[in-house]
Amino acid sequence: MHENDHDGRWTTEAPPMRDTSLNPHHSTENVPGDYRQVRGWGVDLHHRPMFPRELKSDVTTARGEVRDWQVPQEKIHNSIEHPNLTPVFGTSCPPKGLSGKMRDYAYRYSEGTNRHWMTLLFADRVDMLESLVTGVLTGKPDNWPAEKAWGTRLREVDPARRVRFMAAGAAIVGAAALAVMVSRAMADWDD
Amino acid sequence: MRAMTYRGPFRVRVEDKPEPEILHPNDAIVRVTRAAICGSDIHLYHGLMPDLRIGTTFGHEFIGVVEEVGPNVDNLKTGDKVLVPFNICCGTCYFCSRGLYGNCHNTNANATAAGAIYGYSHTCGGYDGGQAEYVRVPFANFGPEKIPEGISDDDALMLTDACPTGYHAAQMADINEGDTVLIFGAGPVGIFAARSAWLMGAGRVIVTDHLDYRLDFVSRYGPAEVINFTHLKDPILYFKKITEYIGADAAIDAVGADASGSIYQSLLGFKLKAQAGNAVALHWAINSVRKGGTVVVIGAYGPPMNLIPLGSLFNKGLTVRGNQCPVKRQLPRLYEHVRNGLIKPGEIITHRFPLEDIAEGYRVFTSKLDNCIKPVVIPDRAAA
Repeated sequence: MHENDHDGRWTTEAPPMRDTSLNPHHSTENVPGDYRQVRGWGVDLHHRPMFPRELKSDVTTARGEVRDWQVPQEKIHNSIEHPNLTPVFGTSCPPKGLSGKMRDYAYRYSEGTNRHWMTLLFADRVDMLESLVTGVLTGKPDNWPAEKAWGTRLREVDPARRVRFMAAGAAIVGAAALAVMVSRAMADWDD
Repeated sequence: MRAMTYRGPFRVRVEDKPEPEILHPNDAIVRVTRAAICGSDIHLYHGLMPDLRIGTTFGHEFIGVVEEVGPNVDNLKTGDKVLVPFNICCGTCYFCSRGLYGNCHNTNANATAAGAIYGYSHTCGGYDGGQAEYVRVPFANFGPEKIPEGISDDDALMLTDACPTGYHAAQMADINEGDTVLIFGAGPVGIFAARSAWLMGAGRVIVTDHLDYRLDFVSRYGPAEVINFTHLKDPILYFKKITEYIGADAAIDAVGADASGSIYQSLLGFKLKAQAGNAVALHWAINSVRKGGTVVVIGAYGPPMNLIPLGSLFNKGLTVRGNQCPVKRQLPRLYEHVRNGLIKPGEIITHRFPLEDIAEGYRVFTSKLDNCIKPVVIPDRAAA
């Protein structure tokens, strides 16, 4: 009896393998055939700064020993997951306005809650709107083209994209002008 | 002083701000001589990090000269040239005492889920960063290091974050001799991770991205096998196929929240803000690593949540590692590698901008214009 002849139920021949070839865009040209030939190969195989990951320590309190504590001069939001205010903290951009009230609310909740993070994200957008207004009131209005570096983008993008961008701009301006003309014509017609 | 300030998503400008002061006896004030824009600054620039307040100065990669020190700082003196690791860490808390300098518990009042980082939102402590003329450096008795002999300014700048972070990623991948390492993202961290994977003994290093010029760079710098995933109908299937249908031994997500490659993830993450950015790189990493393999998250994500295939992570028995790099633990070994020419960190710098033109720098970097890999900003007072 032939070994593959089990009423066709099994065989010792493996099914054909699927393709394992590289995509034509997959480049291996700069990699040596023997990986040990790569410059510096294996020098850290047994010499890695992060092993062991955690160093031995006999510090058992969250803060360890702290001698001096920075004193808040403005409102500092402190996560309720901390045992107390940290010995040092950042003083950039104290909370202000409606966004500040929203941040106050967010910091009433722990870092495991969506209410905490989503309120902060929303407060960021409110902060931006508030800052647009205060920028105008304080004589330092936002300059969107400069702050977004539109000129750089136009200068650096490839010519085809630049043409498409300018064509789209011209189309929008043209459509707006056409709309104004049509509305005026209709108004004249009504008169 | 002049300082970059955030004005809202996709908008930054330079304006006058008060110079920083010593607020704690362990503080120092550093005059910045050069600062880099980091790939993770893009997440801020796009407004993806919660509690990112208008007026914040970014910049967690910088070197400079010590201008003033607090009374407890006895390891530095005025005039010292220092590199400042991006982690703000005390060196003595529960976590720092265990070498986890990226997880210091004494410097970030706003959150326990993240360590403190210069210029990286209030979620990371609310400190102003180094894309300015001066910066306050807390715990200067522990964090900053004098730039050693044989380390150039460009190398030192890259040793504050990008290079140690890539090196750390390769270590977290637990590479055994001959392992296949698949790296998502050919930005600065992905480039350094590729170089470092060889030092750890990898047998095959594959990098994927959607930008050919970056893939060209890493193919030579790593070196590495490279493939632009836009040429692949199904990237995950392809990575299985070229690893004999086993999968890579380790996959490194060196992209983070600003990934490209999934309309669904982009819609939820960028447009609707229903998750912390686009997690497609992590999604692909989990799916293309082998069973029992290791996934490394070194690209930055915000804290809220992301959509990733937890079922595959569980059923494949994966180990997932991630952390902000504890820079100071990497530096002694990296100084050796730089001196021996095994890693040349400064070579990835492609662009330099005056601080006053930082909006242009962000635009060029984020829009991947002019084959930009790593931009550096130089304040006017850098040479003062």
